Amino acid sequence: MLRYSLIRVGQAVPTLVFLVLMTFLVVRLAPGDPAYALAGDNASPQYIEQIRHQYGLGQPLLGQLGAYFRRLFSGDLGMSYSFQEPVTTVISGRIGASLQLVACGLLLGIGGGTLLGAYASRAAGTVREAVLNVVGLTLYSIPIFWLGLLLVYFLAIQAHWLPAGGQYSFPRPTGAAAVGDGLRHLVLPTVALALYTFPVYYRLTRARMSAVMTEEYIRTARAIGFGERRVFFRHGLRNALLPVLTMAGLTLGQSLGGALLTEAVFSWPGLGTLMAGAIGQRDLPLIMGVFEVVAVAVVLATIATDVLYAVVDPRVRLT
Amino acid sequence: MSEPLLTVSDLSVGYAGSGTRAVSDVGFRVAAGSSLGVIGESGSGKTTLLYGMARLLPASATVESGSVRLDGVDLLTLPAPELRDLRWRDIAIVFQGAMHALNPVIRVGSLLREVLRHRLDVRSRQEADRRITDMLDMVSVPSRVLTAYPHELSGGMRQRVMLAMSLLGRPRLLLVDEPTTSLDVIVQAEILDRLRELQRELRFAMVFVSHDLGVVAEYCDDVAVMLDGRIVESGRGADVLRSPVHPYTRRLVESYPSVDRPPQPLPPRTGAPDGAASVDSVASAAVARTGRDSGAVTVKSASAADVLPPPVLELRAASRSFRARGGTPWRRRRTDAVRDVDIEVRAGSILAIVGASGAGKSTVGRLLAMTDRPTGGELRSDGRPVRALGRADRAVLRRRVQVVHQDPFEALDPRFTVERSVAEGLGPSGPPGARRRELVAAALEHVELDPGRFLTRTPDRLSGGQRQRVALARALVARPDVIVADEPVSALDVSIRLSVLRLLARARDEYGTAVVLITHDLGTVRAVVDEIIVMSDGRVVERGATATVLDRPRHDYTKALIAAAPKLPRGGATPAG
Amino acid sequence: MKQALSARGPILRAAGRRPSVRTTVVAVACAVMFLALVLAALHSAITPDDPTKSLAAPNSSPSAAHPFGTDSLGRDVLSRIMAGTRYTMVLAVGSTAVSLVVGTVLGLLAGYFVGWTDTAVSRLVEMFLTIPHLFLAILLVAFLGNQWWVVVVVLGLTMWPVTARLARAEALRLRGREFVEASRIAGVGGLRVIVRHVAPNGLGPVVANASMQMAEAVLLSAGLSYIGLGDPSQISWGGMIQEAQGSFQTAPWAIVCPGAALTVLLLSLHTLGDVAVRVLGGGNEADIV
Repeated sequence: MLRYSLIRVGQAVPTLVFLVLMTFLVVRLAPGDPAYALAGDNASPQYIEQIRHQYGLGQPLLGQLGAYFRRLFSGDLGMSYSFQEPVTTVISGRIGASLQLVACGLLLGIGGGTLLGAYASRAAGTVREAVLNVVGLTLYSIPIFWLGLLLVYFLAIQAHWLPAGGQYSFPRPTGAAAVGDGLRHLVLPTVALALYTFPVYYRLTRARMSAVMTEEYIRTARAIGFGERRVFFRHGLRNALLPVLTMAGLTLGQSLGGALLTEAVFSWPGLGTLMAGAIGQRDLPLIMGVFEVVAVAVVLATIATDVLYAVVDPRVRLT
Repeated sequence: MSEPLLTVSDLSVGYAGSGTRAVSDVGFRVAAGSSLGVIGESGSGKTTLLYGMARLLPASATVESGSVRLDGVDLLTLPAPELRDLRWRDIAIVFQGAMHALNPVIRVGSLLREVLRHRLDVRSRQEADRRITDMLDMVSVPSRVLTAYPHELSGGMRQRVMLAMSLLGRPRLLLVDEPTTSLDVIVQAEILDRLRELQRELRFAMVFVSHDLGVVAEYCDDVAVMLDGRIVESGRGADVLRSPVHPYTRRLVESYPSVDRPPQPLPPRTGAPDGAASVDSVASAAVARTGRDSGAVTVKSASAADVLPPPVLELRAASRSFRARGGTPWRRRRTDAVRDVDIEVRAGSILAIVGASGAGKSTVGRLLAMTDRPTGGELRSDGRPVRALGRADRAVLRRRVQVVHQDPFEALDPRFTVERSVAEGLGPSGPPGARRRELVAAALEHVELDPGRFLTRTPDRLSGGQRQRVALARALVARPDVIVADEPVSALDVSIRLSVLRLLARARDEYGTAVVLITHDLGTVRAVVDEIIVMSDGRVVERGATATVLDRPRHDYTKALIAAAPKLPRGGATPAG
Repeated sequence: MKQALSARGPILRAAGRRPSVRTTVVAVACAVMFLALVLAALHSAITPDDPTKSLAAPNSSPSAAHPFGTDSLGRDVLSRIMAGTRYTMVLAVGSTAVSLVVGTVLGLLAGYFVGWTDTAVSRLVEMFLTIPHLFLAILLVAFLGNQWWVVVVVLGLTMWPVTARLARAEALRLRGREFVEASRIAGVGGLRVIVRHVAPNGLGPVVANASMQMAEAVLLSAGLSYIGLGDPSQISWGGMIQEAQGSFQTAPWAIVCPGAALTVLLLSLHTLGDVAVRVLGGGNEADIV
């Protein structure tokens, strides 16, 4: 298991190199002088010169690439032009909020989708399944930012049940009230992100579960005389959950896209809102920095799911 | 006969969407401790019958009428909870291909304990472990498999585990579904022998479904023959096989390629009702045209090999090793699929390569067909090393060696007509229009398909046997020097196997084509083959003329192989009636 | 006896009724797609009002003159939705085309030739699948420009791996088939074998997935427009929602209506995608895993 994990980590190296290469190329391919773009609109000539030096823009291409790698390995993601702070500082101040939202939203969405998907496959042919299918397809088709805005309009603006955005009230309450306040702010973004992830896992689990229940080993379990519940959960669901796990790993990046839009809608002070703000300010170093951090996080998370998969599915470990 | 334990009467099963019944009005009795073999070809309804009895059919199937009484209790009307209670205590099933029948994510031991605990009320862990060890002993499985997952076991081992599991509850009735399909003959014989011993010891009744007449004949007391959903003949096994009454049964018995019977003289290929061909429904008018007189040429005696023509293709000390998959790249072990093999392929002769799966015979086939290269030794063509040939020469040589594979459903491009498929055998630079058509038609006639009826068909309108004939026509159309046929008939129904094999013999006789027949089935070998090579574990262990090898095998492995091959009871097919 | 066995009776009857519902749904989805294509082709030629001109009081609620109300600049929301169809459809069709061409070619080559071609393509596919699509699109569009054709190419580049995986799987499956091998032995060259045998037999799942890819493109492009990376010279539904966000409380219709248009279009694409996958095989997320 340890060996498998190490191999997986080793396999991620080319991916990371490729990521760096791609961002490097993107900077080079940008129309105009990249130094001007990276420095921002009202930069001084000295600052532009400094950027040019840092990114090695005066050197031949290979030298530029070397400078680029060196800069990244030293943990330098450049200066954010709108914050006038190093990108790493800006990002590290926001990453916690994003993690909190993503963890809550994905857990709720994946859990709910999987459970209801399994339920729907059991209820195949009934009205309940049909209703779930319609709900699943509809949620699958609603753009998440619009869904978020509708939630804000009806539950926050009209009904005043929950706060419309942000992570805390202003002024921020103290003591036990702070916890409740934080939770109340967390509810709507979490629900939005969960509703966004839900249909993917609902559809996948339902499809996989229906397929698994026609497998021969299910017939074996029935022939043995195990109860339907045991057949379904122990012999069926375990097998159906394997692709769900793969899916979770594969689509983590896509889920984070949903998280970005959710944050933007609810002004949740995480990386997504940061990214949206950076777009508005044309703060290219910050956009690049957020992309790099998120991409590396996704690569690492994919490795984690793969290793987890090997724990669950005995067939993987051999290869 | 004692009071029957199992009485099936008037059982009919239909599938939604298809007008016909898969099983219709089937009835039989099985006494306690005795066994019934149900034999039939694919589509005969034998499997539907088995699962219909156990109420395990998919939702698309409906039992339309009938009853299945176990000790007087009708399983079909029994309320579900009561039926569930009977399962595995009274009725257990040994499933086909235990690869898919065992849950891939549950360890063998865990599943066996689950059966004991939740179905057979064995609460104590010690008691469960004791019963599991006892049962594994009975089927000769080491107890280390308990911690293994199904995919970590060999096919034979999985099937033994399946057998052990089915007997955990000491059922009174065991339903057995083609338990040894895709297993090697030797492993098959071991498992079936063990099954028979266990049946004698534990006295359970058995319904055994199989497509293999020899297996049923050897292991069952009674036999029922199914055709199109009906039982057309039944009785004591030995009686039915010695003197079959129904024409279909007779045909099955006659066409059974038994390893211990001398080759029957091939019936003249005149389209006379030689049974086999008419089952395939391909015996077309084209047949009558050719070869009325070639029947005599067919049976070549081994002594004809006195003056051997030089080999067209030969492998010299050829080896092929593969790198094992997975693991760290620098630590992958190499495994030898083929070691140090010499083979000569001569014009006008059929050479069979036989052996268990994994013996390396298919790899040899690929080396000969040049779809793979040896990692040691060399392939020679007309005495010259193929390696030394130029690009153009090698392309020419490639066309002189054609291949026919096992699976008729993979053989043809589903979008191509028969004409286009066969014409492709002529290569991209083949002759133009009219001549092309002529050659294609001739090749179709050779494989006994009427060009007028078949040229414009697409594969979805062909039966398995017909597809295989078209694949053979494609291989033959350019008059190759060598045809490498890898298990060409093992996916076909038994009754049409010989008729397809005879086409290979015909190519040998009429065109002098050299044929390499790769097969695990010794029975089919006897009928058409001139020379046999027996492979085991990547090496050639024995070679010689067909009759010599089959009748007087020298190597122990060959002896075991022949002993394990299923045989029909002596006396053969004397048509009664 | 029969009753005991055919407990499925009532469900079967329900299933017998379902196809008609399903047919209706599919017909509606087709109609929506047709309407979207017509609107995209005609653009502002048939809109009731000029979508770019301020015609009424800002944020006026729906009325007979402006059934979907007006936005914060007093422009007719209905006309803007109709005109915005073009941007959505051009992006959807264009980027899907890019994805299909790139993905099919690379996927078939990888699956048929295996070896290092496959290793290279597969690694690339894996990388592109792992990288968050929306983030990648934002990065590329932010640096390379937000003209519509840049967005088309960028979206195509984020989506091709799915196509490539489907095409590769089919090519892998087919390359071992005997008729392909027979063709090869007969001397037909690799690329010709792909064109003759592999592509015609293997493109079903790829085609079936096209509808799903268009849906993905619509979602991604709407997301891009919403966070300010749409082509500013074009009217887009995502951009309309972004612009209307400031006056959400007073003019919710300016957000609700374009979002509803997006949802209806996506529902249709997903419905057609589900049908296509059922008919042509392969395709949805269950098979991509």
